[in-house]
Amino acid sequence: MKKTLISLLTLAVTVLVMGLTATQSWAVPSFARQFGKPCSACHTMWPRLNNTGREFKLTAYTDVAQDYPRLEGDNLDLLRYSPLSLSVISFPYTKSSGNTASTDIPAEVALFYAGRITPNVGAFVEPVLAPDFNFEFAKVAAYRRLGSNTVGLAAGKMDTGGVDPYNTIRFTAYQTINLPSALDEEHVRGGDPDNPGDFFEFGATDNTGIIANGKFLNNHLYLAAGGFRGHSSVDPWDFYGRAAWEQPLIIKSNVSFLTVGGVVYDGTERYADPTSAVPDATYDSDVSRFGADFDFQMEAGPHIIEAFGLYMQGKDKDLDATAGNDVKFKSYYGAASYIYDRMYTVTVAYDHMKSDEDPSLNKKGPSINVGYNPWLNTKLALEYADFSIDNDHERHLDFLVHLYF
Amino acid sequence: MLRNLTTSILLVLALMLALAANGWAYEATQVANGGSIKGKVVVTGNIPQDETIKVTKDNFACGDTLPREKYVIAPDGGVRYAVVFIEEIKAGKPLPATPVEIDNVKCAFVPHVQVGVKGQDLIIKNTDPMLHNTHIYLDKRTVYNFALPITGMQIKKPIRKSGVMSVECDAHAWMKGYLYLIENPYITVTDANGNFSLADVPPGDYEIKIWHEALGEQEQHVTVPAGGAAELNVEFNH
Repeated sequence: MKKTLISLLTLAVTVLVMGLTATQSWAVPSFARQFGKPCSACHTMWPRLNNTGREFKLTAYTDVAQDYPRLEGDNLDLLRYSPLSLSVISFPYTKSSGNTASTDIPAEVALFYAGRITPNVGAFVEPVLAPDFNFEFAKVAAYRRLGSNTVGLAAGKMDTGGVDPYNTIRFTAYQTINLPSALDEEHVRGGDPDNPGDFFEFGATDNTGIIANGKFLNNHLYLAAGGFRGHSSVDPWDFYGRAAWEQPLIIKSNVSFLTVGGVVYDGTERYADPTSAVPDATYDSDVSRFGADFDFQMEAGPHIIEAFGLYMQGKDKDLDATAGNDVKFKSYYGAASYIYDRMYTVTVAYDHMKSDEDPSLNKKGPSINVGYNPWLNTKLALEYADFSIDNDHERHLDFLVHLYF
Repeated sequence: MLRNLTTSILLVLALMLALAANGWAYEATQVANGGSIKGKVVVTGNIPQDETIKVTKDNFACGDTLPREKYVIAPDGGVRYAVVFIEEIKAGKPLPATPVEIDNVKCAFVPHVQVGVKGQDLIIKNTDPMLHNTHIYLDKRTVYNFALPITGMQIKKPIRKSGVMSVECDAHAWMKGYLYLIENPYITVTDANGNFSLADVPPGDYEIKIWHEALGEQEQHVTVPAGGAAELNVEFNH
């Protein structure tokens, strides 16, 4: 308790000192450098995309700034022209009930490259340097305008959220440290519990995919369909489909966007067979995920309000090479954020997951995340979560520092 | 004791603020026997050439190149898109009833320079078949941010601030325009020949400010006669 108080006091003092010295500067990471725009051009609060960010992603990161030396006054002039940016995520303080407090510095170090290859083709590459080197993303995307419609194609190492510009499911959730259970790698299918910043995407990690997508009906309708294969090169291709309808709303002369969508992920995962003595023996588990989501964004001057909801149900069949060993779950997640001046955020979320077959998946509880961006390349966040997991009460307190250059 | 003192200080401050605000406010009245200010803005010396923008996206709707419209100069040196306004005037004609409009047309802001008055409404439109995001900054701070993904979409907002604002599109990096907002209705933009006119000006002496995005700004003094026209010719040497 005393340590918690000291941590909170330290954070409060830090926030106060940085608040007194902070200004709302132009952004510094690579996107902003290359395209001559502040972060707010594409994000409500990184990494959440606003309408323009979605368009930018759908059009394959092909924008270029006309006048490169436009970003004056940022604090990283030397990196101004670099196409690369660097992200460092650390947890100076993380504690869950029953465990002693620990630090994780850095929890993840990643490089980003995103940019144009030709006028209609761009790439997004994210090698993670630490704790273990791997390519989180390495995708190439292309697009074409057909009148007021836009069609695109993306392929490479990526996950479902990596291709979806209407990525309410992934990026909206990512504002918080404790992700929705339905997306949490730790919580479903035995992912890596030591990698708290990672994702679980409908039951498949390390995906390679190829997705056709586009915006239609005067930019109202987003459709995507394609295939993913994950886990290993012997993993069969799975089907992924997504539809989302985006409706602009004018509320008291403020621009708002309501997006309502659905997603389906259906296929087969191939695992090493733990019951077989034969080397490299595998077994297949059919997986399915069906979800519905909504996202609401309203911007009124310095005030931004976002709300996000997700319902997902899933089924994994014949786990552990045992016929009939099926696990089903239902999950819902809701989050609402208030962002002021793109510097201060408060996000309140509620997570609920239920599985009759595997009680260890049962999880429910609220969390509150308070974030502060003293500069637009620095994020400090403190999150408190109070979960009931498999009938055990568990509290988490995490302090995150995220730097991106 | 301390509480009473604090209350007193706050009351005095509120009174001072109210008086100051009242002193700064523009009062709309009927202008009797008003005059006008007419003139022309020209550039002399080396006549600057406008730049050409290479369109890097959405060429199907916007073409391959666009004029930057930084220097729109008539053959006789007349300067388009210079803003002319009375800097300080306490009372005069009413604020315009019609809103100020900026449209996104073929990946350019139309008009390139727009003017308006605090208290008017601002309408941002999108005529193009793709998303534009009109982002308006005052000293690098966002004043308005309008995502316009739907063709024909328009958004109306009240104008609550004044100053020279830059108008940009987050989706098309080359798009740039200006919105000059003041607190009285005596503001205009020069036409294609550099001509301008400010009507219904109460007779009197005024300081006139002339601003151009690239040529800079000037201040000139005029005397407006009752029922007559004051002529003001402005020369920018380049």
